[in-house]
Amino acid sequence: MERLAFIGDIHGDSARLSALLGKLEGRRVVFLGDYVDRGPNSREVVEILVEIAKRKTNPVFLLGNHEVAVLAFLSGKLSFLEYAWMGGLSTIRSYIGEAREDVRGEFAAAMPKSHREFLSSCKPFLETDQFVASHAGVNPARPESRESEEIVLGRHPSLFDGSLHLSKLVICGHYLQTTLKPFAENGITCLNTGSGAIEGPVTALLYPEMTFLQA
Amino acid sequence: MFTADKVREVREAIKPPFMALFLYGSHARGDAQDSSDIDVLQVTPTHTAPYAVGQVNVTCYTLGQLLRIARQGGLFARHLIEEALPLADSSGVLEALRSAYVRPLDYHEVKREVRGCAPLLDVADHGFNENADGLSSLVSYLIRTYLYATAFDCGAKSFAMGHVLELLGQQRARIILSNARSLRSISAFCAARTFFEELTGTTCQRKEGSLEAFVVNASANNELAVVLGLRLLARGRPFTYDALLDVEF
Repeated sequence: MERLAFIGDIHGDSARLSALLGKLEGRRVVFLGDYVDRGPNSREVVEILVEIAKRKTNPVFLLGNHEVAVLAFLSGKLSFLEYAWMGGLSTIRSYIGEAREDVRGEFAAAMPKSHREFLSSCKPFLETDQFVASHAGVNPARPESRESEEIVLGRHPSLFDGSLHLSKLVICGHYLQTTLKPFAENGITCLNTGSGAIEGPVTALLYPEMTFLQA
Repeated sequence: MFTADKVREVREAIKPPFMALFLYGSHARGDAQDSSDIDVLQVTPTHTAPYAVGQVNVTCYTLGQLLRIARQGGLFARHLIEEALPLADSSGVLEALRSAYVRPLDYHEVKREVRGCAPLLDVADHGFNENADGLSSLVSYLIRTYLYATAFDCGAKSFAMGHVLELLGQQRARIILSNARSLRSISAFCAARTFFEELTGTTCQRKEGSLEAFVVNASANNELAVVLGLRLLARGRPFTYDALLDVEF
């Protein structure tokens, strides 16, 4: 069986990402989304991921709600206020340094084409017979749905109430684990341990061993 | 004296749900005038915008937000701990705040952040008219916060504005604040802005060409300027700016 490493929310913490990647040699990496916003170095995080896309064997980059937000802000579908509310100010600063006037325009001009293409290329989910991996997990009310509204942008806190009986393992990020430890019970594994948001670590799930690494 | 009639007025004004209700400000201290607003804190389960019903001004915070402010030693937490009167607090919110509160050594950081907000007040006449309520409230808030921070660093004993102004020899601020808050006119705003510049030794001129650009740059080191700037940009639309700090997803 192929050895995988699923990597949870990063949110602009490039130092922790780099430290974690050093421990994952020889594995196919699957990133669960939320690479940008809140933390200080979103630009550097995306640069690292763009390099991984070039060099690693068949890596997978899943889409998080924050990648959707940054693209929506750049294209004018999300207002400055809404993007700021989501923690986008630090991302903007990481790209443009000092803002002068037209924040959206300056941000768009400062973002390398390779970064925008990378963000646009992220996939909503990765699925095998054994697991489904997506940023927001699946909707317990419609577990077969693979619509982005549900598995990328959705909020399904009932995933964690212990009453679900899902047919395969669900691997997700998105839901902040304030304990700074991954959640792994009842067929649900959540890897958002607060990187970039509450000074938590970035967490990787080693698969199929089902063990964790943090940095 | 906070009479039974006043309690009833507050009860009727409150929009549920709430975990706890507190009276604070002049009515809680017992030095209110007939014209004084009734300041109420409503502890809510989720982020909720502030509202007013008649003289009752209701500020809404979640318990998590209040605990965060208490841990950071914020002035609002001190205000509550020292002066708030519980109207409903069966879950012990006030005691939790007392336990979490970390008293700062001084308020230099608060004053730095307030000074850094000066460019938020850089508006032309037409800009003022687009958001007269927001800008009038903002300049009042900044002046009051700076006065409180300065006064507590000088040994002030209460949040009574009369006491603070007397201690600092700034009695003229009373009329400036009153006019800014009640008249909401460009002339009252400009007078308050000039007073703010003199008080804080700052200039309100903004180097960035837009409020958005200022907020982006302020986000490097001034959380207060960010939340107040975003509130201005929201222009009265419901925007619970503390949701900015909600990092659940």
